[in-house]
Amino acid sequence: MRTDQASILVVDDELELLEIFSAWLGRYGFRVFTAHNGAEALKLLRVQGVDVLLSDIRMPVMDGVALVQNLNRMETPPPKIIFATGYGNISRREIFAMGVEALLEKPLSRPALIEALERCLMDSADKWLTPSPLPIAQRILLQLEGLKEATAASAFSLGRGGCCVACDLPLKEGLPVELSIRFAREGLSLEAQGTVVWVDAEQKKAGVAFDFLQPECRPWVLDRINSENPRSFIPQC
Amino acid sequence: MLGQLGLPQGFGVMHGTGLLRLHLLSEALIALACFPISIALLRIVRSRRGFRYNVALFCLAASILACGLTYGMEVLTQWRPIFWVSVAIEASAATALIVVLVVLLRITPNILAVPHTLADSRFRELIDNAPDAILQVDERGTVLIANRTAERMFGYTRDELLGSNVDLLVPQASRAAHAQQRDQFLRSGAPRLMGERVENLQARRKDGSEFAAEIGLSPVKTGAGLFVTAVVRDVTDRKRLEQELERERDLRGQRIEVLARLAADLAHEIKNPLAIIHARASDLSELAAQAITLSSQVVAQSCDSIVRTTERAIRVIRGVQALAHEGSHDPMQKTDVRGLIDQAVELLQTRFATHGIELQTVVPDGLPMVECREVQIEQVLVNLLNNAFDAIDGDPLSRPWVQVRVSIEPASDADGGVDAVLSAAAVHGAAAVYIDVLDGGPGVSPENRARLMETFFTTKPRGAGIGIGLSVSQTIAQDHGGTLELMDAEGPTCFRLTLPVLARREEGASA
Repeated sequence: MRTDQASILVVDDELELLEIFSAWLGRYGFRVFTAHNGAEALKLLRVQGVDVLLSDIRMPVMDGVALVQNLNRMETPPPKIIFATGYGNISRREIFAMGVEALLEKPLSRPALIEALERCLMDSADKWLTPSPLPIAQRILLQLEGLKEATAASAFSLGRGGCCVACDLPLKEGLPVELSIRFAREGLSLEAQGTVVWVDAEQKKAGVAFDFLQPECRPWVLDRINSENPRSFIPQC
Repeated sequence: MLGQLGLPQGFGVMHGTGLLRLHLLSEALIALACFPISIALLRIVRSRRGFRYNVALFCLAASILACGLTYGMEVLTQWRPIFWVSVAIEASAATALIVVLVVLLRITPNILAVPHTLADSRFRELIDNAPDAILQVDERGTVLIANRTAERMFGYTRDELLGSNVDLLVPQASRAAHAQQRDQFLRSGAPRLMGERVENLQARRKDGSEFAAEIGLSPVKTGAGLFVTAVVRDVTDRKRLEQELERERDLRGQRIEVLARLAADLAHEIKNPLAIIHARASDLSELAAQAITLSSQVVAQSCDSIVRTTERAIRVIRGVQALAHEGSHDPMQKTDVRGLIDQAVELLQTRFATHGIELQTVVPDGLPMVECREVQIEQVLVNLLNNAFDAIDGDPLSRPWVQVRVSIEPASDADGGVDAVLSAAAVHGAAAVYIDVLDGGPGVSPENRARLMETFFTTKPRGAGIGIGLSVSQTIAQDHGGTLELMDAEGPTCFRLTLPVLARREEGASA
């Protein structure tokens, strides 16, 4: 999807930020809608569908988290969601599991915002085509019985934008990793590059967002995502 | 004359043989008893060579020996008339007794000056100069020793103390318990204990006043029975310091509690303005980099916004600084109530707004000034507002509003209305300013009402508050000559902070 045809709803209780973000996005060609809190946003979304929702988390009346929960309960498919927040004390894990595709930190620069928007507006067919230029810090090698069994055993789970894996490697948020996971029963393997978005050191689990999928595994992974259509961007497992 | 009386046997013959026998037996026994007595005395003199009354003891031994011999001679002369020897011994005994008498008369004042239980005056000096009161009592509690400090501490003279029961020094109310404890102490094989410490006691002075004391007890088992030495320390000053320290700690704790909550909010409160400043500035620089001509109006708008937002961030920081400041030693200052409330509200309104709680203030114009330590009152207000916030936020059935309402005393509470502008007459008569913090929360249950102001009482979930806010706030209010109270259960929950108004002339003089 081209950004100059896309529509976006910006939700922030900070009027000045709302104004600047709107100006930036308008300049870039988005059709921009604004709301001051989650409740206003929800009301607007009932009558006006948008492609992307860019929302603050802490807001009066209804915060960003409650807004997304409400959207997930609605019949119509929710827009792509990006959170922009200055408040660090939130569980990244839950936010991505709710379906949020990006978590941007305030202060937020225009290029970072536009990049995140472009990435999330990309069709899945165009995604994950180019290998990451970053050096890989960690290789995650797993031999699993089968996809279904692994999901049931909380060892692996696939979302719209990445996966959750159980592994006891010392991982850190933001680390570029390589995934090599074999599913013996299906004879499938996932060969990918990604970025760690959350780590649960206690349960030895990590959430990884895909950056690149090897051509051999692209078809089955995309097929699986499209057929199952999980709500989670990166699931918990 | 003497010659006519000189028939010694005649005494005995005249009184008959039975009497004579008893007489002789008694004299012989006296003579026999005198020898060991004088020997015992001489032994003491020999073994205690340094003793200052050895001369007196020696003379005494000699005279007793001489008396013994005299009695011995008395018996002997019944049969052998060796009167010259007998009289010579008698004369020497008389001389020895006279010497003893003289010596005794000379040393009596010295002996009387020696304290009657402790013979060594250096030791006496030592215990007299001890900083603690030292008392020794016997098993029945009779005071045997009391040092000078004890006199000073309890207000009794030593003569009054000695021989009295130690219960004299115990407050009336705890006398029975004290006697019981003493018995228990003595019965429980106390001699095994070496120095038991008893803290948190009350002691009583002669004038009836009481003071906090700490007592160290050590039993002394002697041949004459069990004695207990009690070392009493007046801990009034220490207790006072402890209490002050405790309060200081509470205050600090409250500030930390408030600050911890603010710290979380602060990240948001500061990051938002920073995000605006960052966005405005980066936008300008980006546009400039693209060589886009910017109208001066656009630049001015952006810069205005940056300045405005910076000021906002600074206000937030200043508010937190004010709370972090230790205010208990600040001087009392004439303060405008409206300013106090505005500051507290400014600090918290974002958090209230974020949670959808309406925070209103009703402050009439023309309020009199109050004298206070601004930071402390600020802390009380923030604490009350935080409590109101928690009451509402934790209860889904509560109505989401909090109101700070200021009125003056005397004010009619019956109508519940608050004047927008106070009449000059009303202000003139005002003795105090009421700052009410009302909330739409579920209210305080009757059982919690009573305990509300207790230190460490909290109804909040673990980690949300440690329960010192209200008790410390109340102390602060009292320090200001005011009060902090929970108003009657009717209507919404209302905490009232009452602050006395500055005297009119004082205010008038400075105005």
